[in-house]
Amino acid sequence: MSPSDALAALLSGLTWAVLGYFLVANGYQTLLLCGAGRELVRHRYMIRGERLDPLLGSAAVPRLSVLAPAYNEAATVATSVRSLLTLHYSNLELVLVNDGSTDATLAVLQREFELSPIHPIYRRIVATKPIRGLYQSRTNPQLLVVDKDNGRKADSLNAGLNVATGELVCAIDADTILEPDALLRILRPFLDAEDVVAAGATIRVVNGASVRGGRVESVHVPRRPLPGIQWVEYLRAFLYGRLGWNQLGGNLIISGAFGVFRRDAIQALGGYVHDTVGEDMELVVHLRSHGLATGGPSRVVFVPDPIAWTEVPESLAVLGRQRDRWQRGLADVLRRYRSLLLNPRWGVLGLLVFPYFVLVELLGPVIEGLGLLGLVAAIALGAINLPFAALFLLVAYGWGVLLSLSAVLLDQSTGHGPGNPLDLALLISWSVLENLGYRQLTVIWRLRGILNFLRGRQDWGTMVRRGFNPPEGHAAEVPFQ
Amino acid sequence: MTIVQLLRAVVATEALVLVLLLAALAATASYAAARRRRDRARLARVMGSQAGGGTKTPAAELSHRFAQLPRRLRLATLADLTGPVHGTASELVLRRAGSADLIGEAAGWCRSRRWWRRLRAVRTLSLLGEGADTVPALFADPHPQVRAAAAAWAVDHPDPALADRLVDMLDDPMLRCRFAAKAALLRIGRRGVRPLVRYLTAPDVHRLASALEVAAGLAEPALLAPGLLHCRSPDPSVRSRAAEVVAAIGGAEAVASLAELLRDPDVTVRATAARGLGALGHWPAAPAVADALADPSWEVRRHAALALRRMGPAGYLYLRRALRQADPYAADMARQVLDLPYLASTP
Repeated sequence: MSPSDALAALLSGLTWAVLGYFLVANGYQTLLLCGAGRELVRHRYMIRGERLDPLLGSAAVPRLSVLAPAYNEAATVATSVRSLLTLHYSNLELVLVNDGSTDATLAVLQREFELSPIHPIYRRIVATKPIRGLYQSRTNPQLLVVDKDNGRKADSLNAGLNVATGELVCAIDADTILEPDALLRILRPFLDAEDVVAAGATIRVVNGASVRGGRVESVHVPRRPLPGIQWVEYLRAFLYGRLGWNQLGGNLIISGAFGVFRRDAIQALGGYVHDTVGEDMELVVHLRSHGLATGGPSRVVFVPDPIAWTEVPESLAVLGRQRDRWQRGLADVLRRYRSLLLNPRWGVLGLLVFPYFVLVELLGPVIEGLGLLGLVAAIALGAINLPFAALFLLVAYGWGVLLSLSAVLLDQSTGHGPGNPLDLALLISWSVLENLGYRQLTVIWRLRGILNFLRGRQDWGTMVRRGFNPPEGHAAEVPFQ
Repeated sequence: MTIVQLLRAVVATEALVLVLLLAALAATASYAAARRRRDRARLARVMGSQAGGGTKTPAAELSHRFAQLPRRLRLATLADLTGPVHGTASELVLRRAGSADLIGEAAGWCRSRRWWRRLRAVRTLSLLGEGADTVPALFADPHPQVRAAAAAWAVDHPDPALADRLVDMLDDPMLRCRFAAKAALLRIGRRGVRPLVRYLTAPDVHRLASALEVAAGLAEPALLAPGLLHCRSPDPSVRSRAAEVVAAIGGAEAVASLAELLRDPDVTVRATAARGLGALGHWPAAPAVADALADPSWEVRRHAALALRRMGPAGYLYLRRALRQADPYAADMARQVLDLPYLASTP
């Protein structure tokens, strides 16, 4: 065989591999979309005419501790805490963990909420960095502040877990804004079944929205392409990605921005692990596999109607760092739990859910990257049928657009979709434009993440946060927590 | 068919689906916007009727116009108006005005074969404060959400038979129903005591935990006897809940029973008993609680120490004595509790 024949055979093989991957990945996505549609219909029947106020006034609701880690949040911490204290939940405890901030975060809290040092007797069930002090608010006794040495988000959540007294704990990010009734809504699965250990909710992009006093007042699709396209990505990831998994074997991820867990289940596992950048996914996979192994509770549920808002990166550099970290976290967790892959002992988790995350989420960028490189090489060498290549690209990206638009339609059907035609037009535009450049960039960032994982990189990078309604030109650079 | 032809067919299908999706998006968005506009205008007309101007009284005019709104809008308006506080004047006027056809329709749905329609019926009837003839039958509905909604409905209906049904639901196999029954019983208060006593003293009850939780929440003296009875249950989780009941009610018999439970083989029961004695502030029990400072379980030691703190001077005396004990764990717990400032007085 001549070298040119060998190259042609290689490219042909690559074409078929990419085609096969394309069918499997899109087959999964289409299954998820169908599952999500079914789940959404069931959910709508369930909540139609439902009233949350009896639950709000009920003495029977379980105690819920919100764990909010904060690092150098002096500018926003008072507003965030006030917003959290006014969440609609009668049996609420707010544990704010000051993770060794170097700014005036603690001083602001002391001034705004009249903190007093306390010495509650708690058990250090999960190991954490040293705690410098514990405080309770005189004005809002349900607010507890833990001041500790810096140890990143997982360590802060573990410190909060030790101090929390709730049967349920809610882990949130410092910049998450919760809708006032989000906790009452996310409580449902825990009241429905004893085997539920964790529940996740919809995370939406706050960039472009108007925020006042820690509440989202009006929602608009961002005019800038980067946050606009991420808006579509989040819709797709949550509305049919995670909702679809409810029907197909349960979720492997609950966003670190907002999730509720049974406290005893997390403590039994030793809390969040420190040595990974994917600690939220690690916890969920650990909870599920441990539950299945011991015959204990192991269900992880996604609930679509509680809503949390989060700020997404607005620059390519920061977004690239974020995606790099997400990919490293994913790779790390899948490596740790590799014994689950295609292992019938774990049922749907091992045979359907885990393979999806390995093939589509982890290896997707590798195959997509190889496919794009192969395509360029084949065109350059004249080794490919051009109409075939063009049609294949059209099919692949067309399918992506259809999936994105289906997510937008699902969103419209929930009643949370954009209210005005301009926003809808923008959303449709971002759904189409996502495939022209942005998707290829995410492939590069995710590939970089895999390479960095293989090199053993463990850093978190920094996030440039504009904040909510900031003065013109204001942006703060804070480490990813 | 060649692969290129196949891909062409897929592209054509995708284009067709794309057009359909765009049409569906445009249609749903414009329908939602038009509906919002129409609803605003209709509600503005109803609210405008309060200013008068017709031949009828303002209330009658309001009722008349409200009754002409679509069902969906009437229900949404009623839900907005009622909220956690019932009985406002406008709610009563609108409820009377808009109810007749809604009640009939919802009563019909109660017999539907579809669970979600029955669920909607109960929720509608709850909102309207009606359904005494139809909803009780749904306590035995095959769908747990419908049974739970029926339990929530019962809160506003003072029929003693419903309290019995609620207590029976504490034995439901589904958590959602047990929770709904528990929440409803806590809300109806004393009306639920008699059936609760009956339930707690029945010989063939499977799930006592929910009933005992309700009993502890109600803390009615009539529930003391069943509480004391279950303090002797062979199941430690039942003994622990029963200890909470007797601690919530109090009295000499409760104290004696809790003191006995301090020596229970189960850790949770001992911890609950110590906490209960602390909550009762019964200082003569201080010596028994002080013995629990040397318990092998951290949780029991913690509750015992906090209980001594709540007992006042007698408790403090035992805590200070514990500082000099040979047992380092007891001494450490006593020291931690003696160091507590005022704000941390609640465990």
